[in-house]
Amino acid sequence: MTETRLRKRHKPSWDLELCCIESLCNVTVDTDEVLITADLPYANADKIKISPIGSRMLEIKAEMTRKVGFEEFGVTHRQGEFKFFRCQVKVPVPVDFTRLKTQFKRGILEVHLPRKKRQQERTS
Amino acid sequence: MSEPVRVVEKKTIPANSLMLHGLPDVGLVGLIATSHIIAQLKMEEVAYVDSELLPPVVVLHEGLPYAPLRVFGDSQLIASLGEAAIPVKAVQPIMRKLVEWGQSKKVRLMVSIGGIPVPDRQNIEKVQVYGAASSKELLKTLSDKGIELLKGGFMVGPYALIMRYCAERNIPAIALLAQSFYNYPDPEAAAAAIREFSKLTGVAIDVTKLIEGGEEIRLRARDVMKRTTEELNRMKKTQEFDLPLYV
Repeated sequence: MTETRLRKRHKPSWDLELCCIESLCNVTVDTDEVLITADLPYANADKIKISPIGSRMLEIKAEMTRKVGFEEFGVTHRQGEFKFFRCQVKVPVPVDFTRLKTQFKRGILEVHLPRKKRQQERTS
Repeated sequence: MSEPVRVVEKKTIPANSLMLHGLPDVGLVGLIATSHIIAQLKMEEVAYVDSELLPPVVVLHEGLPYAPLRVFGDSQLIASLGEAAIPVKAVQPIMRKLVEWGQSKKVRLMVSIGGIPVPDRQNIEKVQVYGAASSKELLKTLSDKGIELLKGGFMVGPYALIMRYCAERNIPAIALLAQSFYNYPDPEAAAAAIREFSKLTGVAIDVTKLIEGGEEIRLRARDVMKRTTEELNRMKKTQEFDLPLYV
């Protein structure tokens, strides 16, 4: 296993440099769309940013309504605060990012991505 | 050769208790609900599970080490609580041991609290709790208490095994399964399951703190949820979505 793959597999669920906590997320592939959801407790609904990275990756970044420190998790041997949730999700099939639709309800973000038809795939 | 799973008792366990199980599963419903019940009733640790099948992990609370799978108790209730994901290869021997141990303590009823995954959970306002039981008499008790029955389908994981081992040994057992997220911590589902638990057993538990502190719990439970999901995927938990075959 390469060092990069090992690091990726064993990386913590937080990043102090970016002040980010990795959010839990889920991907479902349906006939017409790909549905990506993310659990974002304390997220500010007006400060959620969804950005495609290339054609097969989506980044979700959400600012929290308050800062969260390690001590809130009962951890006192580390110092630092987090202000954002972040996750990068691999989109398993070709989708049309321009027609992306979102819904944020009770702390759960839904991102609906229409799947590309075969013809669209060839022309894009 | 040492036993692969041991329950190490720290205090005397009262006979005829009701035994509750709160183990990591979908939405961490059982773990969240049982932690809340333990805190509300101020239950103390009375035993812990020691097993070479579990990873070499201790949980630190206020600087002191504890086993990740412990049993709490008071004069009328005992509760198993798993604070870390149980590896799939350990689930069977540990559940068998917990049931055997409960029987040796003359437990009068085992109640598992858990979740039942539903795909559109975020759009469900009122969480439904379903009941399953080890005997026809208990199914009637559930119906009489107004708890909807889980009549068909599959159960996968720790609670499925508890139910099966209890049925084999004629130990009365019930599972209360609340509609929940599959891989997101679900305190609201935990609160719904506790309400049904109270209705069933008469043990009153206030769920206000659980509801009000829901976001906090979801934030703090992320990593346990992530590890639990990995184990659930290994044990093919998604089979619970499957439709059973009736001929």
